[in-house]
Amino acid sequence: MEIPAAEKLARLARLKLSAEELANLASSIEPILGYVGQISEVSVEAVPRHELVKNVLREDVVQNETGAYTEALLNSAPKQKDGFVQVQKILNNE
Amino acid sequence: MNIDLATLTIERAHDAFARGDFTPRDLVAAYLERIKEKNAEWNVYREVFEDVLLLADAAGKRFADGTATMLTGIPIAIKDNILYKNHAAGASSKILEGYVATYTSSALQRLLDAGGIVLGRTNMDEFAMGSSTENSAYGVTHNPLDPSRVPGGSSGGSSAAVAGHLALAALGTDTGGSIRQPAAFTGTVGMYPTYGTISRSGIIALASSLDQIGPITRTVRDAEILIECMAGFDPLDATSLPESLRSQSHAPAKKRLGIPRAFLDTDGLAPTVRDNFLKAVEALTGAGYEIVDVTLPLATLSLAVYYIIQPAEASSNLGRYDGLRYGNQKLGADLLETYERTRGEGFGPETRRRIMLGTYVLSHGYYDAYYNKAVKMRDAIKKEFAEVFQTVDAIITPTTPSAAFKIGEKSDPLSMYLSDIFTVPANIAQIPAISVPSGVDENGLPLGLHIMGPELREDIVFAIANDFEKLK
Repeated sequence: MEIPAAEKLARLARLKLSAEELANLASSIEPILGYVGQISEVSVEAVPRHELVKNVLREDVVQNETGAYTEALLNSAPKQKDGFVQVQKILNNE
Repeated sequence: MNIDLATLTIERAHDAFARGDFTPRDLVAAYLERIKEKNAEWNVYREVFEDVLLLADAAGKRFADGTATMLTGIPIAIKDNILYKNHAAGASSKILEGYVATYTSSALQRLLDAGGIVLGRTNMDEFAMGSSTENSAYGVTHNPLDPSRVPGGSSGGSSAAVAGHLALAALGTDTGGSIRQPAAFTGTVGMYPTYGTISRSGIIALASSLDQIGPITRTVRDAEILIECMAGFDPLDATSLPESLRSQSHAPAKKRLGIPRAFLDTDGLAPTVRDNFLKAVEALTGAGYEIVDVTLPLATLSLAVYYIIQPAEASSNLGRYDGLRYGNQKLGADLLETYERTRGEGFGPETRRRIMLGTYVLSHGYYDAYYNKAVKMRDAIKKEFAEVFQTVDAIITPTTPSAAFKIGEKSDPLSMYLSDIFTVPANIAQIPAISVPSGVDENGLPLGLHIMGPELREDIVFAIANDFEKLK
């Protein structure tokens, strides 16, 4: 894998990596892609999917008492303010 | 109070509680003493929880008032990716430093309701990515049977806890062998039931179509007891099996086992493992099992399929670690840089590699060649297994291609991945599989026999495992 391709992937994956790490990753991913690429050598016919379990979605109704988890979840966040998770501003309103 | 931890099983401990030979508090104290003695050397537990003696006393009361169950007072260890309300959990990653669980995993809740006691959380490969615990951000765990070697992974802290008598049993998670491979490396029993049997709610996800909680124990019976307790439909898991499927009755097994010979030609299969396996086959034949050859040509490519599907799902699952909602934040000049710094610095090298791989196989231009093809292969592999199970009750292989390797021995990622070559097919096919101790190699290191059964046929897998355990 070329370095610019690795750089692009890191950007897509939201990973800030040093030049050295990028080079390491690019070279270690190459043999892995070679290994998994084996599957391109076999042709399989599409078979009907057999799934014992299917995604089952429940009704979209509130299950917990309002506010039961609010404090605990807010306390998990690195920054909070006035009952909200605090994040950096993303709109520039100059 | 002198309790022989080396010969204890869940049923023996339960009987001893019931007779009053010792109390849950005595047993917990014995494990705490042993942990104090050994944990610094082996790095098994990341944390021993402070409330264990309180839980032990509560368990003791249940024996007094007659509400005790088989698991009441049984001290277990849990892997660091299983949520336990008001207790820290971190998947052995720096990115989750400081995180305290806000709810309890459904499977663990069932154990707690039964009176089980969680001693603490065990070390693991970061986000369950690895086969040795060397990928933990908090140091490697040593194999109690030979501290120069790894205990397997990713549930290596849990396997070491059971093998080293630092817990009576442990919970791990298994995505491609992360319970069964460490069980084989430590002479313990590890089980992955049919996907959907045990709820995934409250485990820190790696690859959701493969992940499942399971037990690591000293005996097959102990594994059975833990699975019986944890199994069951859970509305909080969108792929949980309905009870109607789990309670179906089945035709009795015919004692016919299949061996996929091509698996034994795997590069890197240690001759001693092959010999050990052939001896196991002989012992099973002697016990009345019929052995036949089976072919699973596509399943031999399971590991290649796995290293597409698993990183793909992981890269999506790990998208949630953005430094805003929990864990460790590294502030950047703007929001994008905060994401990139938090993730770049918070994830370890193997986790970064899998996120990159997953992003690659899902990216435009490669999606069809890798991810779509892998999903198609997976369907075909499931079908292949189902057809073979028309002719045999179960399929047996060694659990691992070698015994526990030395710490630092496998430095390139691909050679590490290959240590799961025999365990991965069960996850791909979502079928039950167990690793049972199968003697030792020439260095005295334990090996495992791996038994895979048809979906929903845990009964077959347990029956064979029980028979094999008695042959030792």
